[in-house]
Amino acid sequence: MAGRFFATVNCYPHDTGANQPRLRIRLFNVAKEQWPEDLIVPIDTGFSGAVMLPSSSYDFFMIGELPRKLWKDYRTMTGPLQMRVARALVETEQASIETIVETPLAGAGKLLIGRAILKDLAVLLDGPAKLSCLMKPHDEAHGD
Amino acid sequence: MLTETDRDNEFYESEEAELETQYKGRYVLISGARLVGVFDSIEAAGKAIRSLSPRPTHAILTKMGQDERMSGEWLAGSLQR
Repeated sequence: MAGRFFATVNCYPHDTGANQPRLRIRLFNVAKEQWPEDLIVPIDTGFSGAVMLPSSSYDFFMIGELPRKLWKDYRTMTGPLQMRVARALVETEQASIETIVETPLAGAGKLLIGRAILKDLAVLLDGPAKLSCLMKPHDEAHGD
Repeated sequence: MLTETDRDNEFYESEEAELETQYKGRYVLISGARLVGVFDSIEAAGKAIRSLSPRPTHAILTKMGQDERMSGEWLAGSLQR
Protein backbone atom coordinates (compact mmCIF):
# COMPACT_ATOMS: atom_id res chain seq x y z
CA MET A 1 0.00 0.00 0.00
CA ALA A 2 1.33 3.42 -0.94
CA GLY A 3 2.44 5.75 1.84
CA ARG A 4 0.96 9.17 2.29
CA PHE A 5 2.59 12.39 3.45
CA PHE A 6 0.98 15.03 5.60
CA ALA A 7 2.04 18.44 6.80
CA THR A 8 1.19 19.75 10.25
CA VAL A 9 -1.27 22.63 10.33
CA ASN A 10 -1.15 23.08 14.09
CA CYS A 11 -0.84 21.05 17.29
CA TYR A 12 -2.73 21.35 20.55
CA PRO A 13 -1.70 20.04 23.97
CA HIS A 14 -3.73 17.31 25.61
CA ASP A 15 -5.87 18.20 28.58
CA THR A 16 -3.52 18.23 31.56
CA GLY A 17 -5.93 16.50 33.92
CA ALA A 18 -7.44 13.68 31.90
CA ASN A 19 -4.67 13.64 29.24
CA GLN A 20 -7.43 13.79 26.64
CA PRO A 21 -6.61 14.80 23.04
CA ARG A 22 -8.09 18.11 21.94
CA LEU A 23 -8.52 20.31 18.85
CA ARG A 24 -9.20 23.99 18.42
CA ILE A 25 -12.48 24.86 16.69
CA ARG A 26 -14.51 27.95 15.97
CA LEU A 27 -18.30 27.70 16.10
CA PHE A 28 -20.99 29.69 14.31
CA ASN A 29 -24.78 29.52 14.57
CA VAL A 30 -26.96 29.49 11.44
CA ALA A 31 -27.06 33.29 11.41
CA LYS A 32 -23.25 33.14 10.93
CA GLU A 33 -22.71 34.68 14.34
CA GLN A 34 -19.49 33.48 15.89
CA TRP A 35 -19.27 31.99 19.35
CA PRO A 36 -17.26 34.59 21.30
CA GLU A 37 -14.09 32.56 21.59
CA ASP A 38 -12.22 29.75 19.91
CA LEU A 39 -12.66 26.50 21.79
CA ILE A 40 -10.10 23.84 22.61
CA VAL A 41 -12.38 20.83 22.52
CA PRO A 42 -11.73 17.29 23.79
CA ILE A 43 -11.91 14.55 21.15
CA ASP A 44 -14.08 11.55 22.01
CA THR A 45 -13.89 8.76 19.45
CA GLY A 46 -16.61 6.88 21.35
CA PHE A 47 -19.11 9.63 20.49
CA SER A 48 -20.63 9.14 17.04
CA GLY A 49 -22.07 12.66 16.89
CA ALA A 50 -20.46 15.93 15.83
CA VAL A 51 -20.26 18.52 18.61
CA MET A 52 -21.70 18.21 22.09
CA LEU A 53 -22.09 21.39 24.08
CA PRO A 54 -22.88 22.29 27.67
CA SER A 55 -26.53 23.29 27.86
CA SER A 56 -25.56 26.86 28.78
CA SER A 57 -23.65 27.24 25.49
CA TYR A 58 -26.33 25.54 23.40
CA ASP A 59 -28.69 28.53 23.80
CA PHE A 60 -26.57 30.45 21.28
CA PHE A 61 -27.50 27.92 18.57
CA MET A 62 -31.24 27.64 19.28
CA ILE A 63 -32.10 30.00 16.42
CA GLY A 64 -31.45 27.10 14.07
CA GLU A 65 -32.87 24.15 15.93
CA LEU A 66 -34.29 21.04 14.28
CA PRO A 67 -37.91 20.12 15.04
CA ARG A 68 -38.26 18.29 18.33
CA LYS A 69 -39.45 15.11 16.62
CA LEU A 70 -36.07 14.94 14.82
CA TRP A 71 -33.90 15.38 17.90
CA LYS A 72 -31.28 12.70 18.19
CA ASP A 73 -30.96 9.91 20.72
CA TYR A 74 -27.88 7.97 21.75
CA ARG A 75 -27.20 4.54 23.08
CA THR A 76 -24.90 4.84 26.07
CA MET A 77 -23.55 2.39 28.60
CA THR A 78 -26.03 3.78 31.13
CA GLY A 79 -29.08 3.72 28.85
CA PRO A 80 -30.62 5.94 26.17
CA LEU A 81 -29.85 9.66 26.11
CA GLN A 82 -32.10 12.18 24.36
CA MET A 83 -30.49 15.27 22.81
CA ARG A 84 -31.61 18.65 21.48
CA VAL A 85 -30.14 19.33 18.05
CA ALA A 86 -29.36 22.57 16.19
CA ARG A 87 -27.60 23.44 12.96
CA ALA A 88 -24.16 25.03 13.18
CA LEU A 89 -20.93 25.63 11.33
CA VAL A 90 -17.60 24.35 12.65
CA GLU A 91 -14.35 25.84 11.44
CA THR A 92 -10.91 24.46 12.04
CA GLU A 93 -7.66 25.79 10.63
CA GLN A 94 -8.10 23.26 7.85
CA ALA A 95 -11.82 22.89 7.10
CA SER A 96 -15.25 24.46 7.35
CA ILE A 97 -17.93 21.93 8.19
CA GLU A 98 -21.70 22.39 8.11
CA THR A 99 -22.91 20.23 10.95
CA ILE A 100 -25.06 19.99 14.07
CA VAL A 101 -24.46 20.75 17.72
CA GLU A 102 -26.22 18.88 20.49
CA THR A 103 -26.85 19.02 24.21
CA PRO A 104 -28.69 16.56 26.46
CA LEU A 105 -32.38 17.31 26.93
CA ALA A 106 -31.89 16.64 30.64
CA GLY A 107 -28.58 17.35 32.31
CA ALA A 108 -25.72 19.77 31.88
CA GLY A 109 -23.95 18.28 28.85
CA LYS A 110 -20.28 18.76 28.15
CA LEU A 111 -17.96 20.06 25.48
CA LEU A 112 -16.53 17.50 23.05
CA ILE A 113 -16.23 16.58 19.39
CA GLY A 114 -16.96 13.14 18.01
CA ARG A 115 -16.58 11.03 14.93
CA ALA A 116 -18.98 13.03 12.74
CA ILE A 117 -16.39 15.84 12.82
CA LEU A 118 -13.30 13.65 12.77
CA LYS A 119 -14.42 12.01 9.51
CA ASP A 120 -13.76 15.34 7.76
CA LEU A 121 -10.33 15.97 9.28
CA ALA A 122 -6.85 14.49 9.26
CA VAL A 123 -5.68 14.31 12.86
CA LEU A 124 -2.48 12.93 14.33
CA LEU A 125 -2.72 11.72 17.92
CA ASP A 126 0.83 12.02 19.24
CA GLY A 127 0.47 10.30 22.59
CA PRO A 128 4.11 10.45 23.75
CA ALA A 129 4.27 14.19 23.10
CA LYS A 130 0.75 14.67 24.52
CA LEU A 131 -0.26 16.56 21.38
CA SER A 132 -3.11 16.35 18.87
CA CYS A 133 -2.15 17.74 15.49
CA LEU A 134 -4.37 18.90 12.68
CA MET A 135 -2.82 17.73 9.41
CA LYS A 136 -3.21 18.36 5.72
CA PRO A 137 -2.21 16.13 2.80
CA HIS A 138 1.25 17.23 1.70
CA ASP A 139 1.92 15.42 -1.53
CA GLU A 140 0.76 12.52 -3.57
CA ALA A 141 1.59 9.07 -2.34
CA HIS A 142 5.15 7.83 -2.20
CA GLY A 143 6.53 4.39 -1.48
CA ASP A 144 5.47 0.97 -2.62
CA MET B 1 -46.34 27.58 30.60
CA LEU B 2 -45.27 27.06 26.99
CA THR B 3 -41.79 28.09 25.93
CA GLU B 4 -40.79 29.49 22.52
CA THR B 5 -39.49 26.02 21.72
CA ASP B 6 -42.87 24.49 22.59
CA ARG B 7 -44.82 27.00 20.51
CA ASP B 8 -42.58 26.67 17.46
CA ASN B 9 -42.76 22.90 17.63
CA GLU B 10 -46.53 22.90 18.06
CA PHE B 11 -46.80 25.01 14.92
CA TYR B 12 -44.40 22.77 13.02
CA GLU B 13 -46.23 19.60 14.00
CA SER B 14 -49.62 21.03 13.08
CA GLU B 15 -48.37 22.19 9.66
CA GLU B 16 -45.84 19.47 8.90
CA ALA B 17 -47.85 17.58 6.28
CA GLU B 18 -48.64 20.76 4.37
CA LEU B 19 -45.05 22.03 4.60
CA GLU B 20 -43.77 18.70 3.35
CA THR B 21 -46.11 18.77 0.38
CA GLN B 22 -45.38 22.35 -0.61
CA TYR B 23 -41.71 22.78 0.24
CA LYS B 24 -40.03 19.43 -0.06
CA GLY B 25 -36.24 19.83 -0.36
CA ARG B 26 -36.28 23.46 0.81
CA TYR B 27 -35.35 25.05 4.13
CA VAL B 28 -38.34 26.07 6.23
CA LEU B 29 -37.84 28.68 8.95
CA ILE B 30 -40.33 28.87 11.81
CA SER B 31 -40.19 31.37 14.66
CA GLY B 32 -42.78 33.01 16.88
CA ALA B 33 -45.09 30.09 16.07
CA ARG B 34 -45.36 31.18 12.43
CA LEU B 35 -43.74 30.41 9.10
CA VAL B 36 -41.08 33.08 8.60
CA GLY B 37 -39.96 31.95 5.18
CA VAL B 38 -38.85 29.19 2.83
CA PHE B 39 -35.33 29.19 1.41
CA ASP B 40 -33.16 27.30 -1.04
CA SER B 41 -29.99 27.58 1.01
CA ILE B 42 -28.97 27.65 4.64
CA GLU B 43 -27.15 30.93 3.96
CA ALA B 44 -30.38 32.59 2.82
CA ALA B 45 -32.17 31.29 5.90
CA GLY B 46 -29.38 32.63 8.11
CA LYS B 47 -29.70 36.04 6.50
CA ALA B 48 -33.44 36.00 7.19
CA ILE B 49 -32.81 35.17 10.85
CA ARG B 50 -30.41 38.10 11.18
CA SER B 51 -33.06 40.42 9.79
CA LEU B 52 -35.73 39.46 12.33
CA SER B 53 -36.66 42.16 14.81
CA PRO B 54 -37.01 41.67 17.67
CA ARG B 55 -34.42 38.97 17.49
CA PRO B 56 -35.96 35.61 18.55
CA THR B 57 -34.21 33.31 20.99
CA HIS B 58 -35.57 30.25 19.22
CA ALA B 59 -36.29 29.20 15.65
CA ILE B 60 -36.76 25.95 13.79
CA LEU B 61 -34.80 25.51 10.58
CA THR B 62 -35.37 22.24 8.78
CA LYS B 63 -34.95 20.94 5.25
CA MET B 64 -38.31 19.43 4.48
CA GLY B 65 -38.25 15.77 3.55
CA GLN B 66 -34.50 15.47 4.05
CA ASP B 67 -33.81 16.03 7.74
CA GLU B 68 -34.57 12.86 9.60
CA ARG B 69 -34.47 11.55 13.12
CA MET B 70 -31.06 10.05 13.86
CA SER B 71 -29.65 7.75 16.46
CA GLY B 72 -26.07 7.43 17.59
CA GLU B 73 -23.82 5.85 20.13
CA TRP B 74 -21.84 7.34 22.95
CA LEU B 75 -19.64 4.69 24.42
CA ALA B 76 -17.14 5.13 27.20
CA GLY B 77 -14.56 7.90 26.72
CA SER B 78 -15.88 11.17 28.06
CA LEU B 79 -19.10 9.64 29.31
CA GLN B 80 -17.69 8.85 32.73
CA ARG B 81 -15.72 12.03 33.31
